[in-house]
Amino acid sequence: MELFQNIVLGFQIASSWENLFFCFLGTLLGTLIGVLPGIGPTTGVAILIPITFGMNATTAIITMAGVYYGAMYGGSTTSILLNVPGESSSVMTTLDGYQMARNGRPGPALGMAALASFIAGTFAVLMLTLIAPILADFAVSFGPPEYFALTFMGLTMVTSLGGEAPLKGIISAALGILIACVGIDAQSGVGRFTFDNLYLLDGVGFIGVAVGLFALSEVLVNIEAPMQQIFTAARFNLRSLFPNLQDWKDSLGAIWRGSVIGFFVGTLPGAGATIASFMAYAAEKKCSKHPEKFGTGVIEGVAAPEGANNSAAGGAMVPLLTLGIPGSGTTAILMGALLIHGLRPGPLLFSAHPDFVWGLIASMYIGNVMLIIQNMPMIGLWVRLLKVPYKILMPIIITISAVGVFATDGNIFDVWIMFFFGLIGYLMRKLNYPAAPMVLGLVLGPMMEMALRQSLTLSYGNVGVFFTRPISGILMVVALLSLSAPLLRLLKNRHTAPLP
Amino acid sequence: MIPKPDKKAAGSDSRPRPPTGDGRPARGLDGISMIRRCAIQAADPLLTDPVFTRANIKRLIMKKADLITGCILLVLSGFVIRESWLMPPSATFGPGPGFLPLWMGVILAGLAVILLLTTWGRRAAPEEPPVFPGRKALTAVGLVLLGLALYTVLMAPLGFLANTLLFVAFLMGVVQREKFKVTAGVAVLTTAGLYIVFHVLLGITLPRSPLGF
Repeated sequence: MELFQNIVLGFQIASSWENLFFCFLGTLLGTLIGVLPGIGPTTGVAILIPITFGMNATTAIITMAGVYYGAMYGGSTTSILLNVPGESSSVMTTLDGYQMARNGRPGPALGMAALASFIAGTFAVLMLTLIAPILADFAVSFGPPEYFALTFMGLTMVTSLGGEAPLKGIISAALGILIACVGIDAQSGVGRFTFDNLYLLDGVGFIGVAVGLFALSEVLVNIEAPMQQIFTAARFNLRSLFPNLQDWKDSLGAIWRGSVIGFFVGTLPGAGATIASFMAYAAEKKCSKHPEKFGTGVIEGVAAPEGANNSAAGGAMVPLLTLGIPGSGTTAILMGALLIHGLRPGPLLFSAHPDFVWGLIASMYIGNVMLIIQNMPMIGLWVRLLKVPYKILMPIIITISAVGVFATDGNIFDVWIMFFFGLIGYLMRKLNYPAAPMVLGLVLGPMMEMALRQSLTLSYGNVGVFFTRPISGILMVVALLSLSAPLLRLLKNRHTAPLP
Repeated sequence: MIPKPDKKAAGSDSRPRPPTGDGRPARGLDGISMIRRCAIQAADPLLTDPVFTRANIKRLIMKKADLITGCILLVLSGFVIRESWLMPPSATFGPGPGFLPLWMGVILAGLAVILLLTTWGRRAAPEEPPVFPGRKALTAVGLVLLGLALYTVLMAPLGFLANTLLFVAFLMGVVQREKFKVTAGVAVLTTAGLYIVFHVLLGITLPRSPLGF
């Protein structure tokens, strides 16, 4: 019954006019970001941190979460109509979605993408509602060693699962932790790596780093080769979007499997919506009676990945809210935003700020309803919005980033931080270093260091403390396994063209 | 026709790409890539899609770049280790402020060495397209960065309005070579929009020039 009360509380909070409005705004912006190639949800959420800085925490996070799961809806539009994935998470949708459009059925493909997204998104929030409190209760008993093991596992899994280049991912994470060390050490009051700079005493500003690494570097990469304007003359009315009975028969199983796969893949640190959509598509093909038809425009091939990526976005909220372990770049930035608003994600969040947690969860139910409305009747509007060329978006993104970063503290030094990390982010993209582990290291670094030092103080310097306690031991073994897998492979392949 | 989905393909479009090396990268695949490959094999349109193959090509071509970054990381880790070594020890028992940075420095050094060793032993791809784009694209990137640096420096003396107007006009007119009308329109609208969002709606005090705007 407590759960029921909590949900009622959540809906009370989420249905205040202010929260409803910003939930709408967030999902709208998310759809827009999803539709437009060249700007992703990570950038969107990063840019929103400074803009939502002055709001109350619940409203701010409701808006940013809306962008995150809203982008999963929008990404499918260009995948289906133009074979151009709006986000990496909708790459798989291009396979059958675009073929369906070419076969003269773009309407049902778009409609099914939106409906599958809605069903799976709602499923994921439902699972989040049921699982998160249990996990949070369980994690309340965690001590410093468990926390160290948890953060360590979060970091290693992101690097080994998430990237094409595990070694570079680990380097990126290590650099992130080192950046987190800059500033006055909270435990001893000693300044570290401050270069006698007054501003650095407070540490490297998270907003500047996040906006620089994602938004600015994305702009720099896109400016290299001016994007061709994409355009479609397709027009839709609402009726043409609804899939017919046969489509539903074909897709229901796919949506269901996609939802389940997406949710559980989403809860894993490091495996986000993109990987979930890949796995759902592969699984669907495997259990299909006619796998050879995949890629020619079967509707299951749209329903499964679109369901999975939405479900994964909901699943990713589970470790973020209950354990304070973000699983991807976007959720890492969300976590940074939570910390900026004075909310520490973790098991205590549920007991200390139930209004926030349940308000956010309830807003996700509402947001999914808003999104299906935005994506079914309004699809024509989004398609027309594609005509806005990137040339015009580029100056807007840069100036919003710079002014936003400046506005949070009124400090021009933060803009220089953004500038510096924009350049670093650009170089990292060029050299194939993933940026997500760096942000994750930056966000988790302080927590990890505190847990590490507390544990070692408690155990009189004995490292065994991480392995003798059962939960922390298991987590450490998982972390070391995920860390050693790419390294072992690297050593094995050393004499035969190793690929770091 | 279908436009190019590849936003990161940089300015290297006109240059020859190395063969996708289809058989080659299969050796170093991790679980996720395996799944990805299985999924991709069903998908003819994507096999030619640079989004997928690029990552594999990239691994092969960046020998020189990886060697240079490896050296930079090694120097950086040396600096980190030295700095952490000099940090005062903990006042009580337990690890002090230099503990984590020191070990992170050591780990980073180890990773840099692994990167250097694995890169050293790997042969370069036969036809290496450069990691960075051609001069024209690089000029555009440089101009954006230069403009942003000037924007940051001039924020206080020029004030938000004039500074933003100039910066957007620079991005539109100089970097992207748009027509005057488009440039002016976007500059005015962007500046006005930002002013409304940040100053009017969010109530943030934006810098003013000495002239009062």
